[in-house]
Amino acid sequence: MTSLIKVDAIQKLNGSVPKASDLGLNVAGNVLQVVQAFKNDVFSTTSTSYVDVTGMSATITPSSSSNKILVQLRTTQAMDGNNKITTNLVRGSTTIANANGKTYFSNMYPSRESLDTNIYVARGSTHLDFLDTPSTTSSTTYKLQVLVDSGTGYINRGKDNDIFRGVSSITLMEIAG
Amino acid sequence: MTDIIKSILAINPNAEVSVNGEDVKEITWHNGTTPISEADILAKQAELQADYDAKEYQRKRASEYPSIADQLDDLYHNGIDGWKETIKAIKDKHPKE
Repeated sequence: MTSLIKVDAIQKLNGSVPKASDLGLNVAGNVLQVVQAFKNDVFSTTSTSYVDVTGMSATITPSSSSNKILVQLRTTQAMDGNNKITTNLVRGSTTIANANGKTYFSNMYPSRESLDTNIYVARGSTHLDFLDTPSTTSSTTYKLQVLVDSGTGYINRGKDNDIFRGVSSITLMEIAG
Repeated sequence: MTDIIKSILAINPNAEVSVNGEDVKEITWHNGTTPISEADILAKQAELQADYDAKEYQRKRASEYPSIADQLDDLYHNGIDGWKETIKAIKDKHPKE
């Protein structure tokens, strides 16, 4: 037997719009909310310690401490010289993306563009999907940090300013636990 | 336009600094680097840009000179005078201003 309920709107007793969990719809694995930060301007740094990348942070407030946060990070980045740029995903002030016990998940080494001109370039994309368990219902901020071992590192552009441009984003999805 | 961070490094090659949006008002100094004033950065940027612009003829010439292999071939077949003629045509096309 099929039942059908039609209503124009549902409100909580206090008049507010109900969340999925209020309606008993937060089935494990469901996406409950999505937050995104998008960056299309250029960030450059010579810092040899981790620094926040301006515009690459996003904040989410989990509706339950048992829920998870799926972090999707996309960046385009480049280096000048024979150097490397290292990226780091942080929750609050804590590194959450580790590779083999090290505090980075992406290193990028350059390739020589031209033997004649001795120009080195490196550019590429970093993609990371990380399922985090923040175990909190407090406002939580995720952000991208970078450092360079030497030289200048760039987000959203190539070594030469007028040759290559890119975009970056950080997307947070609350996943019902 | 010459990068702000390159202008900063031209003043202090050891500066540890971040620049966002190529905006002189969005500069963060790191690890004890002594800040440089906006005016000094913009002055250096203008100086570097003027130097870059003044060398446009060099970049145009460089992009049009034959490869070393072709120039050696030119020398072999046409001698020094023939080679100089080839190079001079490019120099004349893009004169030093």
